[in-house]
Amino acid sequence: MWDKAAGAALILGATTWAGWQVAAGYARRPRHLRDLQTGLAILRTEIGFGTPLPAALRSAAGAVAEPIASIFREVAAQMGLGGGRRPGDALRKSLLIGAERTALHGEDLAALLALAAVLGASGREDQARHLCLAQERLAGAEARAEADRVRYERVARYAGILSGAALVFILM
Amino acid sequence: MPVPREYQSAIHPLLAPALATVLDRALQSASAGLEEIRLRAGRPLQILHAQGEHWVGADGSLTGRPEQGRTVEPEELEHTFQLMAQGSVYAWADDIRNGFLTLPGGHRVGLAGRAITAEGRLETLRPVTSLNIRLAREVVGAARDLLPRLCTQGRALSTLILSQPQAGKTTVLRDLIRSLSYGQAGICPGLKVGVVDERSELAGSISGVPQMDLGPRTDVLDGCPKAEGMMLLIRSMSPQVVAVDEIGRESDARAVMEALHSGVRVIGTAHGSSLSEVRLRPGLRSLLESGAFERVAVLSRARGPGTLEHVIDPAGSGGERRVG
Repeated sequence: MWDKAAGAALILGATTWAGWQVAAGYARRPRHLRDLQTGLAILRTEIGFGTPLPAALRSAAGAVAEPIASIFREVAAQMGLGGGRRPGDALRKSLLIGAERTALHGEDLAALLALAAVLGASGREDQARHLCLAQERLAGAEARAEADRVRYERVARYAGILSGAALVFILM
Repeated sequence: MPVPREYQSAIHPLLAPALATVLDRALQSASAGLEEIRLRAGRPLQILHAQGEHWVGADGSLTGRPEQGRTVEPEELEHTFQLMAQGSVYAWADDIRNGFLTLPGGHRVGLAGRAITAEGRLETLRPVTSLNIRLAREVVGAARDLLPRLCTQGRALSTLILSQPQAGKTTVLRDLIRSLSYGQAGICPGLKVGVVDERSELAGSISGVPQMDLGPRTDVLDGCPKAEGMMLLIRSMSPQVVAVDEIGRESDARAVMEALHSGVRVIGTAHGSSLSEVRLRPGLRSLLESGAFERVAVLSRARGPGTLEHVIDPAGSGGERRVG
């Protein structure tokens, strides 16, 4: 009897946890997208002042929360490594290392990767134009992510609990 | 021969890795006195040193024949340029328009490539296809012969130092600044020197802090246009001597005159192999005709960079006359 109760509690706990994890993903993505836009806005301002990219990236990192801060910081770090990576290569590498710690989707990463070809490689106005474009794409992604959050966050939580309860009922 | 310290610390980390490897090998067998490294897209790698020029082979060997030199790939040159610009081409827009970047340590990188213009004005170079990396070097004592000729009764004389490119103007000026700032027993006491280091070559400043020894009484205004910087220094730092590299524009000439009228001595440099040649340049002609400079020192490479050929008093009685 106690074994069954423990098993049921375990199943219920696991599915509830899974539901909460999925719901958390829906909640985190808009937040990460907002942080990215804030970081890019700081980057645009610093580039407008003529601040070299590593310092501008560190400034952007200081203005946003983890894990997005790490992405900006890692690009600066990669640029300073021995042998030195170009900004685009550093950005690709940073996303490769850091993206899995975020809730960002492929389309979000694509907006950032589009910057890789031009980051640091042209004049201030051109840099501002490309950063604006990336911000607009991320803003669009954020609107969709927010709609998904409203629609699915609570559903995912309930689905976790209810699927656990259903499984327990079937197994009992 | 050991690889030059300036190359190792300031240039090597900013080269595309494959180029750095080849150059490291080449410089181990090169003679001392590395002056320039020249990268040209699609053409062989070249180094110039005090004894002449060499092309660098794919294995790092040195040859006198360009066709045996290792080709610099456009991608390598672009990578190197990006590293030198700290991945921030936009931050060096003004410098690129002027055709050079200055690296930490005062090493200057000349640029050439495809010019992008707008309304007849150079906007930028893209792509950059030639880099001329010139090593800045501190040579203590480079102005030893010159200093006694430029001081009289404990004060410095306003002086123009002339030479062709690569003949050691900047190196001599740097040592002159240091010598005046420290002072030399029996020649002149230590003087307050203000340096307008527009291209960060004289002091090799990093974040405004000089990396080269310009003496204890020297204030450096880093990265500031010469004309504006000279007046700022005179107002703010009360220097006895103002030193600037590469005077040439009319605005520089006006600022030099203003400085002189403020009671400050000016020491500057200009491109040119003789006084008569320099008199043909409008900005400098007006300065020389107005008697702004009490001495003109002419340098050459006859016995290596910084060889003092002669010193002239351009306004001596009965016209210019040699004084040393």
